[in-house]
This record gives sequence, structure tokens and C-alpha cells, in this order.
Amino acid sequence: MAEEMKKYLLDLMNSTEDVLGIVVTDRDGVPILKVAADEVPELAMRPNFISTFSMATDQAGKLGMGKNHKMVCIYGNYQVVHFNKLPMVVTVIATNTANTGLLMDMDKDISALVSQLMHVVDI
Amino acid sequence: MGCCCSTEQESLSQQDGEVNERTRLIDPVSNVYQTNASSSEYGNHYSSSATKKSDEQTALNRILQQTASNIIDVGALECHTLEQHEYIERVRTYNQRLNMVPPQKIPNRVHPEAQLLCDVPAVERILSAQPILLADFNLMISSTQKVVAALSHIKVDHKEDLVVPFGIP
Repeated sequence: MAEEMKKYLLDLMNSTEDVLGIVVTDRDGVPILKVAADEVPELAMRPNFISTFSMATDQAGKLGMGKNHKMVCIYGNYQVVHFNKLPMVVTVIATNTANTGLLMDMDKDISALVSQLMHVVDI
Repeated sequence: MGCCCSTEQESLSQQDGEVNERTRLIDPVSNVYQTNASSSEYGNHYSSSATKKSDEQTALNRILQQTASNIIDVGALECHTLEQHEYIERVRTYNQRLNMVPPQKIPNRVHPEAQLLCDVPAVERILSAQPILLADFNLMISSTQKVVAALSHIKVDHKEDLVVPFGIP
């Protein structure tokens, strides 16, 4: 089943242009499933980079505008979209030229996978 | 200053220790809550009264904790860094559990073909694809026309009554 899930994630990555990697982690950034192209920046896959999103999304949820669902970070060379699926976090890494709307639209496809991974992570 | 939004008065009154509607419930500097009331405080009361007080104290503590968790205090956030062995251990656990996930069908991804208007990634790849042969195109057109003509010529030739009474004497 793990292979099937990885294949699903790989298909998702390949079907969206300029996506370099998709990582499903727990809230501390420990990877559960990971697919990545060769060009993916190694820094963006690190646990201490991904875990900052868990903290940020918790704090952003206190702003009185409801729960924070996703965050888009656009850097000079790359863009990173984090999806709040706590206790899991899904991080999509793409080049700066990728269509951000398409990256955000991956949410529903990712949700289908994440719902099956719920009991893999301790709650 | 005389501005209506001035906070000068507020700060003055707070400095004097005066309690008003603007006084903060939680002291942002100390950020420490007295969660346990001293037991001697309740020592001379009846047990029911003590229970009631303890319930009130619990409720108060809950409100305080709730308020504290609703406060955005970035400075007080603890940056939890995982130890290397803990990280490796967790990766191993996740891999094991991942292999134990019962095989279920992952729902198919929503195909963009089903939508009339949608974003198409790599549009140049689709547009630069080889067009179909003219002969195939003509075959499709002529076949479709034949099918349409055949459908339009379908007739029902009834030889018996269309309404048949059942069991009516």
C-alpha cells in the first residue's frame, strides 16, 4: 500500500508543471511519505523548515479569522505551499514560475491520500 | 496628549494598580498563573464548601489556560528540535505503520476533462501534439452522420394494441 501511495503522490507531482517535490510529514517535520525530483532544494525538505509551519499555522488560527488551512511562501527561486492537515502537514515545493493556483488546487487530491494516513501518526 | 485614542491615562491608571475594565486579566510580564490555592485557605471550611471552591478554582484555571492558549506570544514559543535518534525512530515507526495500512482504493483524482472550463497545465504540450489524420477525421464525421441519420429514422411499428388491460373483467 505504501508503494501505491507513493505512486499516487508521484503522479500528482508529475501532472502539475514545475512541481519539484511533495512531502507528507508529521507536525515536527518527520517525513511519512516523500516524493521529489532531483532539482528539489534540500533545505525545503528539512524537518526544522517544515516544523515552523506547524507553529505558524497554530498562531495564525488565533487571529480571529478561523482556522488557517494553507500558507503560500514565494521565494526568489522557489515557492512552497503548506497544507494544514494536522496532525499531518503536506508541503509542496515548486519553482518560482509554477502556477500557484494549480499548486493550491492540489488540496483535494492530497486530502484523499491524507485521510488514509491518519492512523499512521500518533494523535 | 489630548487625543481621544491616547493611552496615556490608561498607562497611568495601570501604574497606580487601579483595576478597571481595561486592566488585563493576565499579567503579560510575569505570565505565571497561580494555579494551586494554598490548602490552609480551605482548612476551616466544610468539605462541601471546599469541593465547591475547588470546582470554582478548576473552572477558573480552565478559563485562564484557555485564555493563555488564545494569546499569540511568539517569543514564548518553544522551538522543539528533534534529537537525531528520535527522528530516526519515528521515521522507522511511520514506515512500519505505512506498510500495515490496509489496502484501500485511493479515490481517483478529479479529471479535468470532466470540466468544461479548467486550468490546463503544460498547455503548449497539448497544442503542439500531432493532429489526427484527415482520413480518420473524415471517417469520424461520416460515421457520426450515419448514426444521426439512423437514429432519426427509428420508428415504432406497432402491430398490437398499445394499451393492454390486465385482469379487468
